Amino acid sequence: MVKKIQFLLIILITISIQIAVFAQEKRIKFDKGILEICSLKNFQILGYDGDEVIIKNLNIGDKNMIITTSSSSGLNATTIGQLSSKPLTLSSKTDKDGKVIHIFNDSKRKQGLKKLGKQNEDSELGIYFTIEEKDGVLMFKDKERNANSLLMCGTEKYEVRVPNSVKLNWKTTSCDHTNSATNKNVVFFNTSPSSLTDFSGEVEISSKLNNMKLTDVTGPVSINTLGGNITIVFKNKKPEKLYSIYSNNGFIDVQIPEKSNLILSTIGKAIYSDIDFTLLKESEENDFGQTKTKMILKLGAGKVKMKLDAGYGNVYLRK
Amino acid sequence: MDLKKHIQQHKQDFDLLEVSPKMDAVFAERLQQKLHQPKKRKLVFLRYVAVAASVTALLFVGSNLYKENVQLKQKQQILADLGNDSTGKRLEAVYSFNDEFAKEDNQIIEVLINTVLHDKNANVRIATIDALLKFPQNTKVRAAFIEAIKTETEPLVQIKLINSVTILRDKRAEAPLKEIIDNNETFPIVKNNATLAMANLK
Repeated sequence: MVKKIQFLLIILITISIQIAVFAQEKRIKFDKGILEICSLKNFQILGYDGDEVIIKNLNIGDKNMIITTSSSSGLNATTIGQLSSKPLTLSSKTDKDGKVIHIFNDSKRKQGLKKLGKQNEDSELGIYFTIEEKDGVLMFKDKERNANSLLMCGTEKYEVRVPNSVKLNWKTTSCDHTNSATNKNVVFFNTSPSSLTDFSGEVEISSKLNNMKLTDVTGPVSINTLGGNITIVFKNKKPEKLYSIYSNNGFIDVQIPEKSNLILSTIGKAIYSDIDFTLLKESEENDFGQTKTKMILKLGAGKVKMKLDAGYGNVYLRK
Repeated sequence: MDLKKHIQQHKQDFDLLEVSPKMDAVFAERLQQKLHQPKKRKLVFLRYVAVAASVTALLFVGSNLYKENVQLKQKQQILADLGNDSTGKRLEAVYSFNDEFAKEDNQIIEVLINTVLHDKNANVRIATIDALLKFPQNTKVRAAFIEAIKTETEPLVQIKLINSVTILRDKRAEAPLKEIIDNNETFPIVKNNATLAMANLK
């Protein structure tokens, strides 16, 4: 029981850890091939007409490690200090909501020095994942960890600018293809969605539970997720090529621009819309005791295909 | 000419009351024309029917040839796109087969079976399972689903396959389903679906 409480406390602390660094960029010349991302971290990917992949850590602030705990948690500076192997300078203060903020500051000690070793180049820029390039594939992947380790990814957030000429293959899981349910790594998912914005290259996204938001992505797009929610928005562009989305029970929410030429095949627990579609086909299917609604809807000339299968989740199609 | 003058000039002819021999010839000619006209019309009508039938037949054959040609081109396009490196192109091929082609073509089905078993993208595999489910009696398709359920590791595709073998009511799926349930690596949601499928198959 005590162990469990300790474990939960560690989780509590690590969730609220914010490792902040200066906003520095890493630039990689890459304008042809596949950008493959297999990471649990939060990425905000932006398409642009260029020839470099540019990575920036979005965590704001200075090089302090800030741990926020509830004053009633029983944690004090000493116990938190014992959790860290690093010799940290510690100060604590209580904010107006009664939360105790412990600030570990080791920036002074490192001032004017650089961490040695090629492996550390990226972490000096605030990039805490592995970058590899081989045979036309640029790969971002989470650093390998031992089994049963604690994987913190709740607050790490990166902005990546990607040339539109590159194909994006993005998995919000690890790169290995085991898909094992026995992976005992403790993982914290960030509830804020990863996003892809203003991209006109080909996109493949695969996730388990992570939410995903796409804005002004013209296609072709293929997304599959077990329980993540998918939000698609078009502000300045229209869908131009195939959209294929499969989910087991997450929702699919698509904001469709006016004067789109779409033919939509939609499957979901329920389908909601405020758009004046032409209904071509409608049916209900009893799927092991649960009713699924299937519809084929047409908008305009129906040139571009959109295949939306939310499984037991809902489909929202809005203006 | 004035009618009065004409009658006066030909008074003698009118008084004789005899029909001119010329009139007989004219009458005979007209009678001949009248009597033979229906036969000619019938002949012309039959000619029209024959021409129309020939045109219809030509159009039918032409349209069939055109359709076959279109289908052949569509088939070639589907087969070419199924082998494309781009996931978008492969997906378009599968959806095109499912939405527009929808014909039990052995060559395409062979390629689609290979796609279910080996394509690296989960969306393509799921879309292909949907396309192949249109041919529930095809023994190769049924065998492919049993094979795929043994090898598939992606949870979303596993769930799709489990639901498919349940729809097909294929008892051969029981053994692989049991393996999925007993496997510690299987995701809980997949195990739940497999357990439900086992109950439905019994």
